Amino acid sequence: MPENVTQRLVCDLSRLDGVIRPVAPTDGELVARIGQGEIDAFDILVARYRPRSLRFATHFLGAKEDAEEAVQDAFVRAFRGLGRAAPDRFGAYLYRILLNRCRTLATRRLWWRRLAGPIDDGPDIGVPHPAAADAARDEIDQALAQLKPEYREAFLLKHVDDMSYDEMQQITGKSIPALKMRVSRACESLRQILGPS
Amino acid sequence: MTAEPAWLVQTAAHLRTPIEPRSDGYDRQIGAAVRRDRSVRRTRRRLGLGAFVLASLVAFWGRTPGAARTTVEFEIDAPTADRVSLVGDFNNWDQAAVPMRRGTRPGQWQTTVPLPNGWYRYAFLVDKSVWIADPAKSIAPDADFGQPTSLLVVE
Repeated sequence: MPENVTQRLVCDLSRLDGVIRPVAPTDGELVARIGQGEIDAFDILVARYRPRSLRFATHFLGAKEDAEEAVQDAFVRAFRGLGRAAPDRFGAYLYRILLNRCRTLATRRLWWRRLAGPIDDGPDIGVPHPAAADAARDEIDQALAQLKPEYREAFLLKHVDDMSYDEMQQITGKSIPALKMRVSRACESLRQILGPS
Repeated sequence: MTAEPAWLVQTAAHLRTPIEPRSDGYDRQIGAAVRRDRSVRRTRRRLGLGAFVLASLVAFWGRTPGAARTTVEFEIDAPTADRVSLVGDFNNWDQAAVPMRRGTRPGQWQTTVPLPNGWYRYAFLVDKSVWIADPAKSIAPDADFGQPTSLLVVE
């Protein structure tokens, strides 16, 4: 009898195979659930997109505190306008908002620095990266900080977030040739600083 | 397709290193900010923009310099409870933020919280599981977490 039970269980499991799979809900499904009032579904989107968003914002703004503010603000605004977003393109939608928040924060900070006068309190963008203990990594952060913001954002989207130019166009609203030019100039500037002399 | 130069590979690899937030609760903090914003917008819609602006102005001008915070005393009778905590939008609904202490009467739990002028929503969490709105106060019009909350106006 025990053998029969074992056999039956094996059969049942084999029948289940291919039917039940632990599939994570897509962005579109989560957005639909939020639309039906299930706000907890947004927490899944936060967990899904926060790491990339925080990494981008930290490298763009150079300070983790500012980056956290920008990311939180971006998620709040993304939730607010969720009805206007294409459900399956939540990532691009969020990044577009995040990029705008980062630009605004960077401009505001620059404005305050100018207002405060020529107090030298370190480089504009010196990323205190937790893993940047060695000089090479510091050098990378400093080199990135020297780029114009529009070059920096194009470089980060292309070479760190591995986006296609189509995706970058959706997020930045810039033409593909313009984006290619920005990435190229960013690479050229970085090569001069970091590349073999 | 040409291979990327070594400096670019190294740079990208460094920049792809995950960045950890300063606090472990950062994701929850984002969730709380989203819910707070949603709640404020709902209240604003219900009251109408004019009333909301008027209430904000009244709250702003009503502040006294040097006495911006009012100490509010919360209490509830929960004779069978082992622990009670106060949760509200002023502490991001964090059940660990304001644990209540036993009062002078048997079954009474109380705590005090200094709060700036404004409108707040709150509730009591009994034994970490039972969510109770304050029986002595009016119920807030919407339940963000699917639970009833009480409305408090500090002025």
